[in-house]
Amino acid sequence: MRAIAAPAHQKRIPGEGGTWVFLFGDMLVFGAFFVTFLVERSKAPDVFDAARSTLHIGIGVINTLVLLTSSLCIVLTLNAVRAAQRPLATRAAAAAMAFGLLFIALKVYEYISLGAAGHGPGANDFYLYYFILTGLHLFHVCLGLGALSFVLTQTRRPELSDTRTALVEGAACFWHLVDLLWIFLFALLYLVS
Amino acid sequence: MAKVSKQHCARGNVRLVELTLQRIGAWCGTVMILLYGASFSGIAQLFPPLSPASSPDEIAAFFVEHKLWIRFGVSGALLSAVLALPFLAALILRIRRVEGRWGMLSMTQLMAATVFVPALLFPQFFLGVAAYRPEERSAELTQALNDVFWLWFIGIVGTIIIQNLTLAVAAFVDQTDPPTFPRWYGYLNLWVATLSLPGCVVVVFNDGPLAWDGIFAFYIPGLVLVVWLFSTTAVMLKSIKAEQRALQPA
Repeated sequence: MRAIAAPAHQKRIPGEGGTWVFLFGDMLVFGAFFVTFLVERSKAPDVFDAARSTLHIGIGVINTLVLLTSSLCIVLTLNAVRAAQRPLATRAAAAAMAFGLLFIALKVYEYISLGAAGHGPGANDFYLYYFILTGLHLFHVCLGLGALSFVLTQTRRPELSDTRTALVEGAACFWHLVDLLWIFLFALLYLVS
Repeated sequence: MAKVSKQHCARGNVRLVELTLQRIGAWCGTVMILLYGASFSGIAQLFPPLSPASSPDEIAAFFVEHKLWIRFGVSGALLSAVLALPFLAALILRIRRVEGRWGMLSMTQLMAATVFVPALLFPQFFLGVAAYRPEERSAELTQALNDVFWLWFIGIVGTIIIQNLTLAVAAFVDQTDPPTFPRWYGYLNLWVATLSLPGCVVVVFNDGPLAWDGIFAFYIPGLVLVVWLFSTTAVMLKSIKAEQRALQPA
């Protein structure tokens, strides 16, 4: 269980095995949330569809691109770490975090404008689920930013031990999960009619 | 010379007995949740939970109709909840083994674990009071007692999250041989902590998925608590057995 480094010619999964206990568990739960949402939606399709059309789809699209770009930056970070290009790794990690912060800022703007338009979480079931699901995702974004700040500190180290490399990979995988979940959420909340 | 080795042998035996007691403690967690769940869900029939959106009359009618079963269920839950005490003691001692002394992790775990048993015990008394003479008082009073039970029962989840986080840190810094916690158990604890979190806002919602009968506040935190207890028992048993094997003369 404790050995992390594997010979290069063998297939290996990124991060520690345990990371995936957490990641798959998290995915499973979001899956349960999505199913709950679809069940509630099937009970009042008209209400849900009318409410869906009041969302800011432009911000949704931009946020999707923001997170995808952020994921790309983390891929660059990891490649740079492996190639021992520390300054590039640091810059790419900082860029990934900046995009993460931009996502939060846009999300908060969206919440405020929805609230101001009378579409708060109490308005109807769609908005309740919208705020809970995106709020839970936003919480994950915040956790992810914590993980990325760890990655940022590691890019400044001259040498990474196997355990540290695995932790950096695990943090990157978590950030990809946050991205993946958002793509599902975006499709489910903004697009499916 | 012979005297010294006899003392040494006696100390070894004491250590082995202690580890056997820890194994019993590890089992207690799993046994506790099975008995507690059976009392609460089976005997008292509080599964699925009563809806927070029900009218006072509906709540009172449930208590009048089921009052004897609820009292039996509460008694069973009160008795089985205390089985968590040896379980938590074993858990704290395992964390202490990681630290090698009483440090931040074992002490934080101790403080959080102190609340674990009261969190299971004390709300049951409100349920007991609600079922004690439900036909002799106004329905709103029974509803209020029922509210206190559920909000307390679900909303106190924060101390379990602290337990999870200390365990996660303990699993990540563990250097003991044989190992006390596998690293995947650390990640499992992070997962349980994340999923238990929605329970904290249970007082905010009167209905919906975050209310006390909702999927995010009741079913998922409840499920991960059971998963956590089962896997904690398994993880502790494995490491205690390995420690016992290492102690026994070849």
